[in-house]
Amino acid sequence: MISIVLKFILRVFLPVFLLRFSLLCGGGFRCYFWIKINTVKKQKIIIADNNKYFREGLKRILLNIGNVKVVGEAENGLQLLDLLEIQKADIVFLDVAMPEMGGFEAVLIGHQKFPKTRFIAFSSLENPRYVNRMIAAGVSGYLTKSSDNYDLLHEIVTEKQQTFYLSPGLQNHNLQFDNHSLVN
Amino acid sequence: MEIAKVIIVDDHVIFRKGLYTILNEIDFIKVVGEASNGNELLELLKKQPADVILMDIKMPVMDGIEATKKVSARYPDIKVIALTMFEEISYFNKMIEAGASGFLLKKTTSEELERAINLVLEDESYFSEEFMNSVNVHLKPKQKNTTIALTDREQEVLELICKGYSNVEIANFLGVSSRTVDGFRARLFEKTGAKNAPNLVMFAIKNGLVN
Repeated sequence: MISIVLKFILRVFLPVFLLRFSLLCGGGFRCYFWIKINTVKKQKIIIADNNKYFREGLKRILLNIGNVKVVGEAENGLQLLDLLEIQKADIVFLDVAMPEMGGFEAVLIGHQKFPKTRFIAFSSLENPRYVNRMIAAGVSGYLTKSSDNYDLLHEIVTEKQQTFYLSPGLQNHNLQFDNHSLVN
Repeated sequence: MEIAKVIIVDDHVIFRKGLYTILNEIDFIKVVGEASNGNELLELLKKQPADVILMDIKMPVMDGIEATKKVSARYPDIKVIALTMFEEISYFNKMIEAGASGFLLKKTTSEELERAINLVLEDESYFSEEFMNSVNVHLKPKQKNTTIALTDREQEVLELICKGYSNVEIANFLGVSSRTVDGFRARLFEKTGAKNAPNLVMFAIKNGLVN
């Protein structure tokens, strides 16, 4: 009786089970690769600015560009740093002048604590002094609010390689990309 | 309620976009155009009628003061509300003289925007309270002008106008009719020589008539 059961297991159940398992695995792997190939990871974005109309406008423009998910908003640097503790972000767009904690301090701390996040300054301040300070603090770009930044925003959210982004109006300014002494 | 046609004038395209989205969510408002400076606005107004213009002050090519002057002269029915940053309060006088009917800070709420647009459409004026406080600090003279004698009631009405109360609200607050408030307003205009409510507010601040 036992030998009949063993023979059944070996000759019928086991081959059928193995065949089904392999099909399942194969299908599973195929499915996994299909998902991997067909979905590009959306960029998680946080916008920090004390003006809600600016936040709303930027959010609309980014969503139009696509491939982004705005995962949070903050009104100042302190709120931004608190938010980053609980919400990972690939890119943070932040104003320079904000109440309570401005962009400079927020980038100084945020850049150290969240090295994988790219911080991009987005300000109405166009004086090279501010731009240089933000560069020294660790931003990956400086955009000015009066420029037409649509193409740059498109590049920022779609490009994978790390480059530095600068609004057209700032490109002729005397900027100091290596001067970390500015931080102090 | 009739739909109010609004134009936004600001050189910051993203701010305009956000304001446009939020304003269009208000039932009686339709944003009919955008401009990035005074020149663009004047071109736009040749083909697009409007009821209210939300005007930035500092802009390239033609700033908000110049644009407000031209709009007031060419289209006297269009109301201009200045949208300003804190740093720009020193332009208060010039914008009032140019013909602005209201002042809002750029960080204003949609409720305040709605209220300000409603009031200027009814020929009244609106000044955000936070803005008025800073203007008061900025423009307040060292000594009060004592040559203008106001009665207690006139003083009360003046303070409420400066706080952005509408005629109906002042009437309710004081427990009198709107017509009585109109009478107080007329007397205040006469005593101060002001032509309209914004002029009256500016006069009151400059002469230390309000606290």
